[in-house]
Amino acid sequence: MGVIEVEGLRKDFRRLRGGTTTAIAGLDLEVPEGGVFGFLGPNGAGKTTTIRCLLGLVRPGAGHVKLLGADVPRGLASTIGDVGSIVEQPALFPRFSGRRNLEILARTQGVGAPTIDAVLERVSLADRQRDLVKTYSLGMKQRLGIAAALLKDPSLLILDEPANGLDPAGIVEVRELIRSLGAEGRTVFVSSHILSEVQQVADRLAIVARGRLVTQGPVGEVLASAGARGLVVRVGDPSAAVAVLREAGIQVDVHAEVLRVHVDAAEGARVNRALAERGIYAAEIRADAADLETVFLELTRDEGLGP
Amino acid sequence: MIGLLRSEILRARSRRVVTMLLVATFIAVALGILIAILTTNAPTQEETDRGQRRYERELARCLAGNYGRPDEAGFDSLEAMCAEFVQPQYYGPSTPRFAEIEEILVGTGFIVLLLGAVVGATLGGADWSAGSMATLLVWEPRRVRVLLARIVAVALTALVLTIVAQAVFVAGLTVYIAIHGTFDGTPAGYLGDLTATVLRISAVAGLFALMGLSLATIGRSTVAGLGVFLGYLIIVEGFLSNLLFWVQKVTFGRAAAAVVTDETIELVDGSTRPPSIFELTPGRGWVTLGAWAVVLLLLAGASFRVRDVT
Repeated sequence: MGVIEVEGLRKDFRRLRGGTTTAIAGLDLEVPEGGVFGFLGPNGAGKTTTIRCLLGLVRPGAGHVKLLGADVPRGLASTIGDVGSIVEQPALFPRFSGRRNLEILARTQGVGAPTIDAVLERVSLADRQRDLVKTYSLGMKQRLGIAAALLKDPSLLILDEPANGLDPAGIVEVRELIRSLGAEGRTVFVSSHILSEVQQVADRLAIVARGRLVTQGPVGEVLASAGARGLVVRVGDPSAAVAVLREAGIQVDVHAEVLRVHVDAAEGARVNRALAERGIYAAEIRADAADLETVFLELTRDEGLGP
Repeated sequence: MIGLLRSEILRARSRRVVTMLLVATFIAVALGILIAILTTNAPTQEETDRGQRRYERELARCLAGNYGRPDEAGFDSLEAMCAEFVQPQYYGPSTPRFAEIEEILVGTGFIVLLLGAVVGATLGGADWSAGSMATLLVWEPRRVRVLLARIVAVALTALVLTIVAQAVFVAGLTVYIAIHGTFDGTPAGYLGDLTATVLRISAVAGLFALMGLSLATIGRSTVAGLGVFLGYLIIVEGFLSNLLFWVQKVTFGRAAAAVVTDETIELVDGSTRPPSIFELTPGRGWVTLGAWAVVLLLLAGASFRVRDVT
């Protein structure tokens, strides 16, 4: 049983001028317990609407949602105490201090001051806790949002685009935080449209596009599904190297002074020997692994959902 | 539920508008009283004597029967009628009296009621404007509970705020009267009456706050809540009720007036022959106000429970 189970989820929004917009079109999803789960998709793919459905903020048009085993929205009240979340930008009162914002939330569930101190410390906001939120940078607001989500010491964290709008330093901070939360045994469900971010923190992922699931599984498996892509080779004289490899019957292309050699990644030694025998020494030989961006574009194109 | 209520009260207490309204009341009262003290001159002995002579002359005229028969005016005796119709303060120099404070409070009551509506709308609309309603609901997804806690917090805030505001006003007036006025003629039990008036006005302000809260919850913004509230006062209370007599019987403005003054208001329908009269008693006023608050809260609850939070 997953901590999040979604089956046949559908949500249409009525447009002001008539008609409907389909945000989610029959989504199935299962998130296992523990680790970081990346929920990946382009803007408008239905990620935030899915999260709103998970948290009972939006009523699905069809389908079933379960959170920690409880039906949503009917059973949500019994499990929400074990779920921390940020939906889109953390919505806080800008004219209250960071601490006051947390106190307001903490009081709803009787969470005490020591816990507030602990989460502020954890997100490195202890020294700015008395400042008004309107004076916070975007990264600090994001961290305060995560602090709010952590107040309940949840076993499941749902974070919607936590790196959105952050500068590089902020992205690194949030990434480290997510990694450490996942390493503690919590389940961290992170939605993002930034593919590299998800690739760096997630153990498993699901890719959605236009409100539908494209694929889901461990990150390694999803990347492997793109298949072998050959080798990347850097040499001092690319044109000479191309000639040598083609003589040896090896297919090769050059892009921006880098050779892309179309052989199995395990044949690196053969390529290296062929070049060395002709006095060309490779500065770098590595597998041309598919990144998530490539996989994402291929999968969404295959499904007719791509750009 | 207690935790949620504590959270709502903390949220209400932390709102800048609540502090600002309190500070503004203090400043306005202090400034008003200071100006009044500095610009008012105590009456001269000559003015006092002249007033006393006019009073004695009119009293004599009244006792001579020039003011009509006491039984026609609903009095048992001529002396009782004249004591009511001819009083020294009507003829002497204008001297502020402590016994007039209740009237002043009733006269300025509409400001306190509007204060209640503003507090309700701003506390109801703040979460929607800040986008923090979603944050709150992921802590407490039972929306009816959230609204109930908010109703209690808003009513309490409006009550406390308006009682404090009125207390400050009364204190300021008392200082002014101590310097330039008189405590003479203050009837026994007057402080009790004054307290009852303050509480009555604050209770109505609390109901206005709940109406403001409801409208802000339905419109999902403070501006929408206040806009509809003021629009209603102008269009329905100010315009439509003059065209359709029955509207006057159900509007909450007139009902509030009956409750605040604690007097029956006679609504006259001039379209019938002879004109018909509807007596809007304070009791009817309470019922009308309560019905408005309950209906609007039910609408707000239904809207809050069903609509998506996006």
